[in-house]
Amino acid sequence: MAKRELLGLYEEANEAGDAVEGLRDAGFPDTDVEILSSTPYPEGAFGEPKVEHRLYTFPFAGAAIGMTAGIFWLVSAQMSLPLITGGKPIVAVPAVFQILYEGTMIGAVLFTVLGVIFESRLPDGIGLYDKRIVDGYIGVTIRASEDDLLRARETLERAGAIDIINNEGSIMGAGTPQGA
Amino acid sequence: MQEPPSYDVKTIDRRLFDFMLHTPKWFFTTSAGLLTVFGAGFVVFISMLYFGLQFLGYSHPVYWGFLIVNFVFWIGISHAGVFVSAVLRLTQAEFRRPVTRAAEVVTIFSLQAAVLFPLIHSGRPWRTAYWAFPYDFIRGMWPNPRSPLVWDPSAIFTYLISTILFVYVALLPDLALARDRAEDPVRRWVFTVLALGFRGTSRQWRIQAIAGILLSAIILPIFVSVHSIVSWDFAVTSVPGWHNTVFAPYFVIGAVHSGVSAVVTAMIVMKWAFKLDGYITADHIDALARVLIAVATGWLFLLFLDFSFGLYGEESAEVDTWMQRIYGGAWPVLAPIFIITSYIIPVPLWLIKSVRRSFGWMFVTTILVNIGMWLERYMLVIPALERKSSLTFTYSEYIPSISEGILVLASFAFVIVGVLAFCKVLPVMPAADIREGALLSTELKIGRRSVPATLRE
Amino acid sequence: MASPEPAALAIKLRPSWKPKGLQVSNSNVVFAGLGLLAALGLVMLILRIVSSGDDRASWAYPTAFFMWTLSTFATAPLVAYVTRLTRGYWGYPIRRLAALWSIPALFSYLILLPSLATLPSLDGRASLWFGFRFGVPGFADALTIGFMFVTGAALMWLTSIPDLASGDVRLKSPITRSLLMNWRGTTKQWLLIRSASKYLGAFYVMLLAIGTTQVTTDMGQSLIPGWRSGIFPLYHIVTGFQAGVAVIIVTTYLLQKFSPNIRPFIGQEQAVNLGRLLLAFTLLDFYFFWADYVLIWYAGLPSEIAAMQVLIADVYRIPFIAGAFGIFVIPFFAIIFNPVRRRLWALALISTIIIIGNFFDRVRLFVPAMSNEKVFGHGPLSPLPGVVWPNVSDILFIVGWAALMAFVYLAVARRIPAISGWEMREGAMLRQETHFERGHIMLLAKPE
Repeated sequence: MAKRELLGLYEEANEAGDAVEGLRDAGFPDTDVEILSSTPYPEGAFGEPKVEHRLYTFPFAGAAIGMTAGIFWLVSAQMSLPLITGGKPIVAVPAVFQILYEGTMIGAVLFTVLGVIFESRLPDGIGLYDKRIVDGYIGVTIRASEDDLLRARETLERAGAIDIINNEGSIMGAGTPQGA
Repeated sequence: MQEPPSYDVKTIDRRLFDFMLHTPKWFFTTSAGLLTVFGAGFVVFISMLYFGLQFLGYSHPVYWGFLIVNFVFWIGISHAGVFVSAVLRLTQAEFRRPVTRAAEVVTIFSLQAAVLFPLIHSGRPWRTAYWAFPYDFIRGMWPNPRSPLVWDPSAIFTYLISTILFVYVALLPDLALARDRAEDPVRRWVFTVLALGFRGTSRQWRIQAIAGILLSAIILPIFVSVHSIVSWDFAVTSVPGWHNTVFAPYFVIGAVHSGVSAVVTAMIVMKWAFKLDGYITADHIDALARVLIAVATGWLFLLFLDFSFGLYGEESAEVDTWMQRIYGGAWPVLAPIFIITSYIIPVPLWLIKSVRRSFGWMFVTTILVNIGMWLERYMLVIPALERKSSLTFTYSEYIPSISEGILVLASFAFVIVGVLAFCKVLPVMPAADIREGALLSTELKIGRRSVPATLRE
Repeated sequence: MASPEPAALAIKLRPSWKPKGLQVSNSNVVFAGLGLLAALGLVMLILRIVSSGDDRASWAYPTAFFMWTLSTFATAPLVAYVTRLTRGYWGYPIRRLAALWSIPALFSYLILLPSLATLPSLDGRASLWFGFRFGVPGFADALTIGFMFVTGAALMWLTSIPDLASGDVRLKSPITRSLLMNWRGTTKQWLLIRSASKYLGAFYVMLLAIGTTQVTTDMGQSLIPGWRSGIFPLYHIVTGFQAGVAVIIVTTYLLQKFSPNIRPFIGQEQAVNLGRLLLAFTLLDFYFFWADYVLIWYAGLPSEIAAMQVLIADVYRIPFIAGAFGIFVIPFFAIIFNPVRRRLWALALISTIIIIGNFFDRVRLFVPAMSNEKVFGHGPLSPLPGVVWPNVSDILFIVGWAALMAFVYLAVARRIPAISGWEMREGAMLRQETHFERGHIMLLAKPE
């Protein structure tokens, strides 16, 4: 069954933490719960689980690709015009190392940035969002099936939500939603 | 040492977004003036294309003048961004928060200014594509990767792209903020596209934190390599006065010295121009001044090594070059000015706490440093060419020309306009970072004293 | 951020937690064994002074050994200074054990003096002294390095006073009272310790830089005609920083393993931060080497090529390769990985390799210089000198003096606690574990 999303807005971080705990106790999996804030809170501040990611592998992959591309370009460029200069070998490590290094590093940087975008699940245009989050409110979103939606809403309300929003708008009538 | 900011998020955003949303009158007059200077530089450039490089005063053997000096100078300034931003991120120094964006933006525009100079200097800029672009068009000749002049574009391009991407990744939360704060629909659309839908989920914040550390760690080696490669433009030759193995770290540390000084100057100007009191405080310039003391002293040591080992071999050509640098032409006046402005005035002053915490004094001393460091690059380049070879005949003595001076001024105008334009479009300080700093700052009561403290994961 | 060990945060200010010296008895096998070898080292030094006179070549390996101690043990105390200056909290448990290395390093001065006495006249060869001849190079180098060692020892002593002055200092003898600055723990005295340690540390760094420039030139570059490298003193300093950090890591690991006093305070926090330092210096090592090498390769000047052939490509190729693997190749490919940097035992293994690699590097740099007969002129060296292998006497010398370094360290650590009580108490005061909403977090106070 398709899941629908609800967003609860909270004034205090503690209330958002209560909401997360409440949803967990109510049987909702952590993967369906998301916390939205406009300020980075320390990891675990809301009782959320640690974020699993593979961002560290991206620089290594990028560096390997950059180095390979660099070697290919450097060797082929020099072999295609095999001029001996200064008595040095046509393809010599001290001569090519600098450009090879830059190629490796730019590969690492490009892939790291791609990794950041990928691991951040960007571009993100489908989740619920509310502009009040930028004013310091904390959002807790829950994806639930139709049958569980009411239970999710009650849990959010019990934790002290000032507003609850779905795709149609505010359920409590305190504001309008803004999709990201 | 820390003065914890204690603003709510609306106040933070209002102050940081103020310049983006409201334009003071001085912006127009300043931009007009600077664009005029830039325009004058453009006229000189066109003239040079028509008349040739002798329009700038170059002839055998001094073919590298103000333009190359300025190239090295701007590359040096560009090093501040990464040094300040990456090093302070890696060491998790709290005072980095208001500084990083300004430093990175100065880096981007000074790098672009630097790139312009070798292009202008070639006399026929479009031909540089043949020997710099990594593809053989139609001539059957690939770029020569053995030449330091080909290493330069690869290093600068890598650094420029890396810095832009670094800034962009760190900008994502601020773009999201700007998206949500923007009232103008055009602005809102632009920020929505650029923000890629950033919502501030825990995952996105976590990735932001790790990305900052990862990219800082990757960019630091790039930053070291760029100015080292620029130094090798000189050092791998056999020109007396240039062939010294210490050039690479000497250039890098000189770049940090001039670059961080430029960042301090820029921050003080931004504080005054954008009314960022409370965000840029005496603590920040105090901390940067302490870093500068260490960097400047290291730079002085490397200058000593350059000087000593230049004369070490007692080769007549090397000795001749150094004598030219100290006693030749205008150098009996310029050489003392160089060392006095780079070190002798600023560093002893920075040892005094009240000077370090004074915006006026820091503004003056950091400007002096950059005057001295510009002279240092001039001292490195010109005298060595003047004494390049005893068999070389000269058409004329090298005298700096007004047209060169106009190009130098135009580069300053370019960088300042670029930074102003950036500040008009995007927040000059990382709002999310500032908010995080406010969130995590606290106090610890020890006895009767409340000691500033920070919370850290 | 790696968290500090719980024991470090639980240190009580009242009653003041006081660490003890290392519990190593004279009958401990390792200690006694090191003592015997140390005695052997001293004997070998005396024999060498008596038998070799001013034969410079016989001081080749001792000079390489001295340069190695300058790189390792003399640089190790800088870790203490830098973490104090930058308020690196992770450094609290290791600052004293780093600073203690200044005492064994001081002993190596006994090797430097007779080596300097064998240096030839400066006339007719390149040097940093140009036309100046009074007291150079021997006296000038001895003075600079001597000041450096004394500064290091003073810094170590000064920062140990609060721990050594336990009990009522008024009851101690006048000499002891003077040495302990009549320590009572007044606000002024604490301020003095903090300020003086900053200034002494800065002097130590400057003297290390200048002293290294002097001795590496006088006992290295200026003895091989054609060898002209402005970056060489810096290369020596930076590889020294790397080796100094490696010494700290090995010392930390061994003390954590064998000293119950220190074990509770050393953990992942120290491993992670020391690992980062080690990685940074490893990268810098390669950078400085490359900056040197690429210029020589490019310019192709015969005198520089000849010098490079002696030091890298031809004559001393084997120690160069051993050094390169020990200093860069193995450490780099090991410590770029996070799991290695988190484990102190893995770092200690890599550090041991670095320390050994550093020794080979010093051998390939200073043995050819001190054993070269054709020191005059400006090169190129032709024909290239042959390799000078160590003889039995050299090996006994090296083994004996390495043992002496370790022996002196243990002997000092018996009297002066290898962990700084006052700094650990300060750390416990300035750091607390706390909650932030539902997460665990560290509170770090930053006074001044």
